[in-house]
Amino acid sequence: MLELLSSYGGMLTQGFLNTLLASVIALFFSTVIGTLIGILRVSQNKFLNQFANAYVQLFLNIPLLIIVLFFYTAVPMYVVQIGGFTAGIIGLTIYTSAFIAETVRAGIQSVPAGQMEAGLSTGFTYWETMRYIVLPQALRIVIPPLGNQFINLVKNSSILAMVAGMDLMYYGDLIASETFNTFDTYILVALFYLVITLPLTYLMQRLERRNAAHS
Amino acid sequence: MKEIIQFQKVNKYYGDFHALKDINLSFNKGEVTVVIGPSGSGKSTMLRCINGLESIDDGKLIVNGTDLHAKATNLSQIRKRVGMVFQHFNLYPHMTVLENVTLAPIKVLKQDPEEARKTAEQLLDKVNLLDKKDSYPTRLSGGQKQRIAIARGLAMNPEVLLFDEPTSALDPETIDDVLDVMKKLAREGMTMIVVTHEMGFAREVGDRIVFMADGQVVEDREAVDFYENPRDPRAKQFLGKIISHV
Repeated sequence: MLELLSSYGGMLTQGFLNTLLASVIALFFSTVIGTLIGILRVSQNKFLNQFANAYVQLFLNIPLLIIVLFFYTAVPMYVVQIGGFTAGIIGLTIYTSAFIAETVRAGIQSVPAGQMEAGLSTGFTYWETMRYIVLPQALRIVIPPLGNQFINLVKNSSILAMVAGMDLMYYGDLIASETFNTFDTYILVALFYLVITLPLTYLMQRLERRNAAHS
Repeated sequence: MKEIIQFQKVNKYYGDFHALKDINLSFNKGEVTVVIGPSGSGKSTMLRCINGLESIDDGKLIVNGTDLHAKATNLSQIRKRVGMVFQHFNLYPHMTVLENVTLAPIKVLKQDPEEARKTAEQLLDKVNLLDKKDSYPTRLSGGQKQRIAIARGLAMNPEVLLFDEPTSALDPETIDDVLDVMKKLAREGMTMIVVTHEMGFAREVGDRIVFMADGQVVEDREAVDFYENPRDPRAKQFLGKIISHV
């Protein structure tokens, strides 16, 4: 295994960095988009509500691979030239944002209705009450499930290998087919994934504990 | 006395259920009105209409000179002047007591944070909870929470304060602390509309009693007069039940 690491270390590091980069970008945008869609899901505006609902239902219920392949094949053909790495990140972001939207919606709905009423009754508008009173409480509630979504996102980023995304899995496949040492190769690849997911898990747990101290 | 709230033939439905039936009522500045009646009689619904937490289906409801039912009405503007205290307190659990009280003055009234803090401390002192200003609500008893909620309502300097069964969710031993604060406010001339089952409180500080049953106002009279001789049979029965319990 050490042999493998010494001769293919450069490739694995490159793959690791690409996986990390793809994960960070997708994590950021899927959190922003997912939170926004989640808020729209509880909005009283029928149009916004329906739009958010359609978004969630669509991307929650089709395989990630199909979404990614769509951006890898159809989009470059008709819209704009993008490579596998970009297509993978877009697909991953859209797919994960649907799950995050559902998580955020559940979080918002678990904040008692009296909180919204209290905010409204002191002269806040609906959106101000959301911002100052409901969302801060909802976000605390959703930290643990959100952590799970983040971990899933990192692992799902291995889908980039299917569209030549130059990620960890892509290089893993390459090395395995060159060396025929599949067992050691994929053990190494798994260890590299743990380097991202374990600290992420730890971080989310700390965040959870810090918030628990206040309530 | 100046009328600050007027219900004119107000009706409200929940689906097929007729919750408020042709309500005609008015509330005067500086007056303490106690609203009583059996549960399901529409007391809380009537109260919640005043600050627009419930909408009315027809009739006219005028609060502080503004028609609540009109399309152009900005409810937030009305609510700045109408405070509300809830049965379940609804304090913000992610904020300290002081933050609970200063949030709306700072964000809605755009008060200077330092000034808002001073006012809040005076109000917390008034409800005898200044020492809890840095606590989080989860650490407080029900009675303490409700007194904080009253301070939060007062911080907006409202024209009128609505109380929706403020003592119904409290342990008996903490009820008096809350009632004492409410009595203090009443004596200071605060305009209050109180939905409650606390007949002792109603008797002591209520200027007027509104008795509701089946979505209707069946008695609306001076407090003393009401106790001495309730006219409606439902009011008589209700009073009979309450008094026999005391």
